[in-house]
Amino acid sequence: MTGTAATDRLDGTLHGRFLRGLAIAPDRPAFRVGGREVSYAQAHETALTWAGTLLDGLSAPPATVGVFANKSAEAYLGTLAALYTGAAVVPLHPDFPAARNRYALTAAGVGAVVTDGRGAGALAELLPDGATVLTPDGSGAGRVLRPRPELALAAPRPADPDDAAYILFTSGSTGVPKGVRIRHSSNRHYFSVVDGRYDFGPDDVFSQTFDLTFDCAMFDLFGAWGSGACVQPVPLRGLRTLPAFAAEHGLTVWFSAPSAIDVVRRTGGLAPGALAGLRYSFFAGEPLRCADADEWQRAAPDAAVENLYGPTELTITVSGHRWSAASTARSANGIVPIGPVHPGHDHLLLGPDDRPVTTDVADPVEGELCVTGPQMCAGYLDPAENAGRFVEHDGRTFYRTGDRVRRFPDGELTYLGRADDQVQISGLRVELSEVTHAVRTCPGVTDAAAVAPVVDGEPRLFVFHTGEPLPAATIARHLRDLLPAGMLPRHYRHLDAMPLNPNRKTDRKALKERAAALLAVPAGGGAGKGSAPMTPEVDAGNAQLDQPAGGRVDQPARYLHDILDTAAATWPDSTAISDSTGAWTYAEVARLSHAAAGWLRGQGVRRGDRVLVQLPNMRHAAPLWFALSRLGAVFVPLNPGMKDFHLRSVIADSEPVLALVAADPGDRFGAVPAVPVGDCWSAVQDAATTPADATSADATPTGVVPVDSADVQPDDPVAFMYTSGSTAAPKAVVLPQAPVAFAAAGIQAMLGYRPDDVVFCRSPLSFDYGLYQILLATLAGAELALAADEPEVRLLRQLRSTGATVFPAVPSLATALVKLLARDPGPTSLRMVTNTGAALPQAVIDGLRAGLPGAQVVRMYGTTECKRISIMPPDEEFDRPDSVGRPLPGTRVRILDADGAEQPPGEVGEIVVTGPHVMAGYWKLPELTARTFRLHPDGEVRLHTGDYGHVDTDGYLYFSGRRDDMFKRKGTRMSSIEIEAAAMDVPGVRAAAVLPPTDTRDLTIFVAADLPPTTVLRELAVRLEPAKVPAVCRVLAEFPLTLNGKSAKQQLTAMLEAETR
Amino acid sequence: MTDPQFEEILRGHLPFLPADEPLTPDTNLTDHGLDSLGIVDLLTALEGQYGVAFVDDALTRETFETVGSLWSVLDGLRPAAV
Repeated sequence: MTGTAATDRLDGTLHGRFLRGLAIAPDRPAFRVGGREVSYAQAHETALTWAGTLLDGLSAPPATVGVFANKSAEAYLGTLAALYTGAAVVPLHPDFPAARNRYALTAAGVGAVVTDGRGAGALAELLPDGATVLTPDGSGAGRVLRPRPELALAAPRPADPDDAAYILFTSGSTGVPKGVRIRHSSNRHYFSVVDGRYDFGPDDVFSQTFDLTFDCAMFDLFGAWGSGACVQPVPLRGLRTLPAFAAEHGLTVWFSAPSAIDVVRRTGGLAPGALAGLRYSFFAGEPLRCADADEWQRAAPDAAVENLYGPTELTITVSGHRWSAASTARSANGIVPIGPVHPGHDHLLLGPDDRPVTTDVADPVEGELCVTGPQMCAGYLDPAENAGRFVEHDGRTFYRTGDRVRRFPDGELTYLGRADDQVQISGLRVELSEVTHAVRTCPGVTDAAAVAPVVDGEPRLFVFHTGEPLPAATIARHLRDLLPAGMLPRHYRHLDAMPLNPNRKTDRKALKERAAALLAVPAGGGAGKGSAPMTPEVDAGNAQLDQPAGGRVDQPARYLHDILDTAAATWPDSTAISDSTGAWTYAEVARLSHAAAGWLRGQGVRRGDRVLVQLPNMRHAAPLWFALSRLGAVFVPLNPGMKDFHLRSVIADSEPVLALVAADPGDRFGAVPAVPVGDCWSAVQDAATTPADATSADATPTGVVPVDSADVQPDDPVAFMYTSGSTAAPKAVVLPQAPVAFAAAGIQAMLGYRPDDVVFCRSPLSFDYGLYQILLATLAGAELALAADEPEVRLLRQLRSTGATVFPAVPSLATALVKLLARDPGPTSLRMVTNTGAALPQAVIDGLRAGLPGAQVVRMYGTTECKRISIMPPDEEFDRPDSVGRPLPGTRVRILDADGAEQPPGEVGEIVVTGPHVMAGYWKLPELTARTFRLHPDGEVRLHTGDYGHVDTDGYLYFSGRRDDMFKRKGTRMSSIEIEAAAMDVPGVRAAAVLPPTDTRDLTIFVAADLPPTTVLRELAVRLEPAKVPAVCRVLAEFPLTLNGKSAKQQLTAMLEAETR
Repeated sequence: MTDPQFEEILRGHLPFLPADEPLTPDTNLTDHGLDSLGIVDLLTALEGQYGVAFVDDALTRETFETVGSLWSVLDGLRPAAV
């Protein structure tokens, strides 16, 4: 072909639009990602190199090229490079379930994929054998190409107008996604409409909010690139600070799903004029409410606000309505009209009988919108999917949108709702039958029905299920492997049987009404919930909490040894606990716990006695704890690193009758008998393997004489937890049987450990988070793998070698893991990382998600005094990133002001907890106990945590700081936490700790970084109000850590005081 | 024995080591403030600087015990000097 012909053929292609932008503005940025700016010329050159390298590495030009990346530089360059090869782009979302991506790869026939470093590891598991991967630096496993500039194409390869420009997958009715091919010619028409309608130019900056697997992202990219404008991805943080973000990045063109408006509003970004820099604001993907459009218009007074409409099958959007004062006159249900169908298209409305409604009337008509024209796709990858989606009329084929609309005589359309059971949820099309199908595949479920009643203007997925009364969390976890996050139902209800309609089919209408009624229960007794129709109680009840009816939450075991005995009966041969020297099954742990109880009794241990246990993490701790539980005695775990000075105080305070230690302790324990665990264990093992007296009726089948636990009471202490690191006298929290059992069951109900889980525990068992892992694993029949005593640098290797699926972490461990994953990417078996101890910086959360694709990161918050206060349900991990979650099922959190008055949502006050998980108090400290565990006149004990925070209208808790963290400076109330969070946001800062001002010292911040203090303070001044910027910044290479891995402010204070002395 | 880059990186991870105190092969890293998390950072820094990857078997307490033990492991990973 001639060069001219090739150029002509490029003109009509999607990538031809980029070439247009290149010609207009070669040196202007094509996109900016994370502070990196890539010009049109650079992007062009890179894409030519990548495309050339791909073509060189393949035996023939590919028909499709996958891009396994999202909203990153690699994603944008990969999209362009894929088109430059002449192939169709297949965007693949790295966070989608592997099964879905694998299906897409196969269905689209993808043999070559561009990915970033992050995706390379996950991709290796997805790709068919022999597939080719290109990564920017050549890293990754398998057949990986590294871009080679000498292979760069001289020019992009053209494509035929009928060739697919991209292939996307939408929710399918048969339970598998539907692949849609969108041609270059369809895009050409679409963008000709765009070019005629708007005046984009090189000075424009386009927001990029949509995932690339969603076709609206094609507007973001090629709308900008056809006019020489810049593409600017908007991270969640940007959305939450949108006025500042928009101003900083010079955004002029906004495009998002309408649900973003609510986020911006809730974060205070919709004040009048707050988005004055915007010239255009587009919304698509779900119905746009008039009230939202109006408020957005006030915030962006100079912007043309438009509601765009269109299914993927009709190429991005196929109609648009510009918002004005006159819009509401034509709205229905408070939804902004969607405008007339794009020029060049014909449409018709189908009535209930599937026949076109009359068109020659002056009044508005209603029906299902069907469209034909250049933007209509040619059909689905699987032609079987075409059935029912297209309709013939007058010899032409129309696409049935499934949307009911009202048409006015001038052609304007108003959206009325879905014609069938497809719904749009957060911009994602959900076929209810697909959700139903997925629920039915959950083991234990007999039948299911997903409905989506509209509550408060939003469709909400609600699942009814029959069969076993499974907890919602169990079904949700099952669905997580099958459905993208946006399609996961939040509400579940078990039924004995599905209601049937007269045709003996599931009465979906009745279910939908029932779901709507359940969701719309007005706010109950809780104060200050306002008019929010979704009360915390209802939401929690449906989603997580009251589901295990008759299960462990409603009637939890009250004794720890009961939990063990249940596990031993249910999973006798499953591995219960392992360490570097071996493992025991649940049956073995139960048997050993009886034997150990007998041995302990022989040592004189009686109900109420304290036994110190100072061991490294070894599996013996589990049977020992259960043994003490059987006796009604108290397990007092001590950190092996505890200093003698502290140890003497603890001995004096707890008055133990016995100590179990790793090795001969000399005289460290004074008068207390201290037995090396090895000596104890040879006796226990003997007892456990010696046949019992055959005449004893009490002999268990395993041969051990069981210990009688009849005297043990639910409020008998089963453990003391000593707080560490304080210079004051030691303080033990008394943990009685029933509250511990209740807390463990509640945590397990929310986290949902499974029998096939391997829980990897690196936290010391003297830290309650570590100790409770024994109970959580036992409740689930999971394996608890105790980390071998190896440095943190082995953490990742340990996770891999144990096959860990659950990793309870604290921030320092999580941070180490992110770093280790960066140097050694590759798969792990992890499916869940939980965090407690302190808030996890967002960068660490992001790092975990990047390094552990598929693993959930669970935020939790608690205190030893009631173990766990709140957990962010794992399936909501991406929601409310600043929240620490919801209270444990069956417990309550109040926010009280200094006078004890309950605060309304949004107001900060002390976090006060009530519920069956509140522990008994502090050992031998009645005054402190009375102050902290306050007996309310109504007879309820209220735990005053000394922590400050607030709840939102949905009942989610937000932590502001400790009482000690809250202070006033220059008349402004602030918390150390917010300043530390701002510091952590500064690139290069690894850790931060704020010391509040005192009489002799102004507000001071310590950071671990390689930056000059002045830089840190300057960066903080960008992020904080002036009063909150510290006066002094100290830079350290590393922070001192306490034994539990928390940074120690006391040590920092001491450092500072030593200097100034 | 070692090279200046090594010493510079190492000193950055030894907060308790005064700037004027020389590093010797026997200098104990833990005693000078290298904690378990610091090891992770140090490892990353060394791998980045020298373009090497510590093998799993080298990720032991012993490796990170002294200046000399760490250098000998690192030196063994580097391509032969030219």
